[in-house]
Amino acid sequence: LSGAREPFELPTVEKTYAFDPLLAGSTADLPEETSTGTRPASRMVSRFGVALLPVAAAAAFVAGPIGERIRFTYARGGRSRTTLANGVWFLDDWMYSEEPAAIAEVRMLNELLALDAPEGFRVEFPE
Amino acid sequence: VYEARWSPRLRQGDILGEVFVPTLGANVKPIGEMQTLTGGGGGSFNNVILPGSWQFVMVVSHDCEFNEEKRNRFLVAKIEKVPGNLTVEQRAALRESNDVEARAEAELDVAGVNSFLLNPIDGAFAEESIADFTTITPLPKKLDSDYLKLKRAELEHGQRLLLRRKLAWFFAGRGTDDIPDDERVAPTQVVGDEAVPAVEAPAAEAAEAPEPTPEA
Repeated sequence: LSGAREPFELPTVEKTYAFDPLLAGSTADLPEETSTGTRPASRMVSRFGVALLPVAAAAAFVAGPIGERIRFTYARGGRSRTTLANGVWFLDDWMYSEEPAAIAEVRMLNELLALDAPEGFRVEFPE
Repeated sequence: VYEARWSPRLRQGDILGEVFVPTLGANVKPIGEMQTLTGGGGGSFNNVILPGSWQFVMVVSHDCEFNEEKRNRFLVAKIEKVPGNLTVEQRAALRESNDVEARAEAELDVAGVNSFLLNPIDGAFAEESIADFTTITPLPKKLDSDYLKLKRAELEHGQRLLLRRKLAWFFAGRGTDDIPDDERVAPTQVVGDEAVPAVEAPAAEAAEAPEPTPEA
């Protein structure tokens, strides 16, 4: 299927699990989707949360060589959902994350958006 | 947070729903043609079946994008539940991080980088929810009058400005350094199912060589 190319070539181990929604919290409205290597931010909490830690630990256990991918398929209420686990992280649609914001950059951006730059304000573009 | 009286047309930050939103994942079901029923001769497809869901969404496109005959599509972000396992502190940080400038001023990290927290809306969703910027999806603008009928709430203008600023910060406000040359790779092309180098990477010396002077 040429239209469904994987983003990178690594050996894939496919595992199928019965998914217990009582353990996982609400997964309503989750589309069937595959997540790939998003860089985790400093702190992340998945929608599945702590309930998935045992499964994630199992993922790490069966992962084998570093870089090997594991694909878990959950069956829940007639719908299926596939998520790639890269070692430890289970990536869901939306995850809590935090990032620092440089106040100087934020102010500059807001001044640009407001289009009322103070006198003398100018944007320095890199060479 | 929400206006008591609404603008007569769609605006940035409007909450609509529920609308059907298709989702492009890694797995699709192709609709195509086979040259033979025995599987020989190959085939092709130009259409796929996509999964989707009925969702509350938030209008992301700027107000002026709804001017007549300006665009064929407008953008919405899916609204999702806040995960129930966040701590009280994380929920508070998420709420306060709608104002990126205030968080930065206080030297605190911005939480929910890719999202904007929304208060509950009577008759729509009963809990705090987030509009997820990484789910932004185009919808056909020719149906905007139909989508207007599904409007559930309109942000107050002050909230709309905060949304606009967080969107701008998410997409354009985070300064990053360029990728160093020694981490770059040669451009690739697809051969079969493999991405292979399209050309040999230029040697560092060749890249730094001066431009040849054109012959007179």
